[in-house]
Amino acid sequence: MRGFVLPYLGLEGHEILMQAEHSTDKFDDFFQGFARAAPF
Amino acid sequence: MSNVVAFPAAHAAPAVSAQNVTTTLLSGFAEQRRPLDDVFWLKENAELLGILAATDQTLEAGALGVFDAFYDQIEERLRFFPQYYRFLLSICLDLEDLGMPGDKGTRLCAAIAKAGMPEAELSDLQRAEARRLLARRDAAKPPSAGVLGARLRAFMARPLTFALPNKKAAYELTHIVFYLSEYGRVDPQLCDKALVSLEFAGLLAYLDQNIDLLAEICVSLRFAGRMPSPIWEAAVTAHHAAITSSQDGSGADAYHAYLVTGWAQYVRSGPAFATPLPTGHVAFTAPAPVPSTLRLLSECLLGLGLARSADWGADARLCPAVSGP
Repeated sequence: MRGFVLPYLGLEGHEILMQAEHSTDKFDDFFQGFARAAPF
Repeated sequence: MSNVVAFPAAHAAPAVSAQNVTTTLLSGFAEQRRPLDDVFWLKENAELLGILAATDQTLEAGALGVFDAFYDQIEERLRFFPQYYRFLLSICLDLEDLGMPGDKGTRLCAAIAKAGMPEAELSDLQRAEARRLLARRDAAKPPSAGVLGARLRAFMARPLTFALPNKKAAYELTHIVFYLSEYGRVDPQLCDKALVSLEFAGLLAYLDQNIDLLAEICVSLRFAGRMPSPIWEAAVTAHHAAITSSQDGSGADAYHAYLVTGWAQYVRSGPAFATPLPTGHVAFTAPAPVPSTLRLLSECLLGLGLARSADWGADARLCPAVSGP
């Protein structure tokens, strides 16, 4: 899924996403909830 | 802390010394930013005094004098504006806890409890805030007690709620932690799931670069005995340092972000609110927001349609439809 998303974010968004991934060991769990529930 | 303080030449005023910053804040909020009959005066002053009380600020002699008239008339205000009893009571209790002579808080708590005013509240969060206030003068059980406490904990122990963008729910989560922990004075005894909820809410706030919310989440995690991500706390510290203050501006500004990021800095390493501010009317300006990565992420997932996956780490070929800039 990461591969789908990265090209969409731009340099600044990419950096923030990378920092978010490194900020907690819960990112994969978080993304499951975020992506499954159609969060828009 | 290293706030950048902007003083436009046309409105320049002498800066106060660092040790007077709290006095300047109290004066600015109590007398300059809004008129006393504006409900936002109540909101802003309740928030300022709440954070000053929670950070154990040592005030200069006479610093609370700007609230003398308000404190003298607080019963009359409560009679005429009972719908604002939580604001009024919060300000009264914090003033007394910060050193204002008097014991009106005890009598007001007893009267409010006797009148059953918390029973008029619709939401558990407001009931919890009311209970927390009354409990400060032993006029109610703490919010953690009984059925209310169980409902608050059930709300917190559902991480999926906080994996979705919902600022209202996220701020309710942090405020429940503030109430249960008595603003950092006792262990809120959060379960593992509630801690995951804070982690998820923090991830969303970071992706959205909502540093105001992220600061509250960092404070909540520390109140729960957990170390927030250094990445998050660094972002909060940098944001606080980048907020400028001036005598210009009116209405909505970044005062809340200034207060909560300063609070987070205090909880992390203290001290807080030491950088000089202009005297008189003080307004706060936050740095220009960056584009929301959260929004881009959501748009990308929406564009994927059926190709969307909940597995972040899974390999996937790039989809031309979403290969944006």
